[in-house]
Amino acid sequence: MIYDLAIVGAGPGGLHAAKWANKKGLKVALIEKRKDISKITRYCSEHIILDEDYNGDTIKVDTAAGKIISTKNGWEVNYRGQFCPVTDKYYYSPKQYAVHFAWPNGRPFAYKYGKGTLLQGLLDECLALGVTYINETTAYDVMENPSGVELKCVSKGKKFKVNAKKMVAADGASAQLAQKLGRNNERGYFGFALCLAVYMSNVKTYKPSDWKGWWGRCYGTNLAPLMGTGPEGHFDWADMIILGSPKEPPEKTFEYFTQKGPMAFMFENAKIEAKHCCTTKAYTPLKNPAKGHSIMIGDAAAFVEVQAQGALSCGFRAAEAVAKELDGKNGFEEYNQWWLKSFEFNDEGMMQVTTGYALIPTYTDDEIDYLFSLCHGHTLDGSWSQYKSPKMMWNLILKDPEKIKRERPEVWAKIQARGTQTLSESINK
Amino acid sequence: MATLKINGKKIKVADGTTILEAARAHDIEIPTLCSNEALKPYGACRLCVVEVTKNGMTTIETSCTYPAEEGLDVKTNSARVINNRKIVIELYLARCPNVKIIRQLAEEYGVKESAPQMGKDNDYCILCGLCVRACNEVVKAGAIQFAGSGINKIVDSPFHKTAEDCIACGSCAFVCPTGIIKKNDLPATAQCTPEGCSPTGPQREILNWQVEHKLKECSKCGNPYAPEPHLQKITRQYNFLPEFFNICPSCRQYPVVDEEKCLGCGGCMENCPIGALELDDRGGYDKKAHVFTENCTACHTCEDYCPMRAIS
Repeated sequence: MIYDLAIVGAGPGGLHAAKWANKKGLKVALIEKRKDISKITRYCSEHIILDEDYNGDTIKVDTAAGKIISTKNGWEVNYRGQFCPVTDKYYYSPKQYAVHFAWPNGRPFAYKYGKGTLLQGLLDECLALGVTYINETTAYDVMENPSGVELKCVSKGKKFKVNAKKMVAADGASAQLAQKLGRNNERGYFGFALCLAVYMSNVKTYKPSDWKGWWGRCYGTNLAPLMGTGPEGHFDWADMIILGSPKEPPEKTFEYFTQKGPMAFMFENAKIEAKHCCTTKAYTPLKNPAKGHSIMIGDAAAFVEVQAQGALSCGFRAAEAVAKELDGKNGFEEYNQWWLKSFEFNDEGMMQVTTGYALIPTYTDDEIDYLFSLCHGHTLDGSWSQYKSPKMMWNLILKDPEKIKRERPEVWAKIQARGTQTLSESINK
Repeated sequence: MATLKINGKKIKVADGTTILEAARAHDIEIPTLCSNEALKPYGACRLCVVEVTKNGMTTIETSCTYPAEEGLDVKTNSARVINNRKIVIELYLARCPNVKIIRQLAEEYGVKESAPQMGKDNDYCILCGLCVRACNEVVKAGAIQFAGSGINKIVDSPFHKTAEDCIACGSCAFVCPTGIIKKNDLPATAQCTPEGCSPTGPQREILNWQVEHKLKECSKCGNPYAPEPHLQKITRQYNFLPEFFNICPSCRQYPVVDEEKCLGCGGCMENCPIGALELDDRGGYDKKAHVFTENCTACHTCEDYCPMRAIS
């Protein structure tokens, strides 16, 4: 049995690719590691981001009809779960100076949703269409041959092979299949982060519409602890997100942050309801995700992540690309061009902003207090983007450079060093 | 599926199978010197010749490259086949009179006299290409190649100098049927010049490619176990942590999942290079990582990628 298309990973990207490839008449096999994708144990922040022209698309959410709509890529996804609007974003310094992002009149810049509900909905559509769904199966290796791909799979310890003319690898940020095809060799590798998310009830000052982050060594880590909206069904729970590494396990940081750190008072009566975690790898993006017989889509080709909406777009475009390619047209080249112009991380200028993101350990806690105090009391545009937000913040800080030069020359010297190198330079260092 | 006859026996095989594979799957022996399951068929040694009858026409073919097609009638030991094989063995005997496997084949097939001298006397390489192909196809190092042509054809390192891309993995020596590739693991010693002596650690040399590389010593048992460039290549290929190969395979232990701590995020299986970890789904959010030790190489990559430190 040779499928037209084998898709690895039933996340938003893989499922959307399966749905649209099937609609285009292709014989599709969808391979997924998990048995039940509606109960997600791999942590995900689960937000639909409404930023205008974010990653080449502007997403609209119709909460009444339960629809997530792409206005630029032209897809629409049904979602039968709940939405929770996110309206305010705060970054705090050690002394609680805050950088505030929000639109006027409480217009949301993101919606928290339930990824499990979204995926199950898409899967049901795929199954009704007749997609071959091979779950509880890991595709751990892939070989390309002149006529297509051969995937090595394993299920409950038993190994077998799946053959297809084309492959869409939607296997996430760990990018294992890209690795097996040697495609990661052209990418810069930063390392990986361990992430722990703890859902808690009775957290003081918690509001479901807020997204908060705390910057400063005093909070116990270089990687800012974050707090977002709880999971679908429990928007009243707070979602405490801690990043770490094997040397700095997130659980230890969580204990410190909630019991000893400056914000411990928030958690005096808090109760831990559930814990999720994940591991994520950071590579620079693939320049040509579609090559040979395979396309790496979504996080598998991205710098860290594309979010659910980016993955949905990737899946949608990849289905089109594969159908065209099998039809003898140049679908892969089209996909690559779309990928390069759509995603912000493919733009060196945007990536440069992220180098300024590393507030710690570059600046001391006192210096962070000073920088944030320059933003305190202002409200910046409501934005989720990890590229636009720091850019807006730095623009505000640097509005009066003379003042910084005069008041804190040592901080000014550090700011000068920031952004002088492009991302590729900092990786190659 | 295809149905064919080998030595009168009806055999069913999957599409894409070669005659050699089909015969071996049914315990019909065909001698070869240049075939290896891990490598693409090559058809160089000509020992695997068989008689193939297709559409009433009978030809002599190499079974390692010929697809097992529907309706073929194959004979692996007819008088014509044996005669052909004898000629090939005779030529090998002329070229390599002192190679053990050639002498064994000659004895088995009753070949006593070698063919008149072919200009090559007492060679040890039969140009089967196993070493070159293993280096290119499996190791993907591309360190050695064929050089020269005709009777001057040999296997060699580039420009007959040190093979820069050789990682001293020893695959070439392992697959060589005649044993002409000389791989030596040398104990720690000292390198001496008139100025004095300096100690060197244990090393592996492959004389044919003029290569010498340091052997990595296990930090637990102290045994030198693999050349450093070989380990570096694997580390890069599979994204292992730099410290990963500090411990040798014999000192490794299989990972154990602490189910109290495991939250079932799947970080371990996402990053397992060989799919040895899977998620045991017990309903709802109750999912636990499970190690299938039959597939596990005990590389412990999963340990590093566990956010809960639940794998040890």
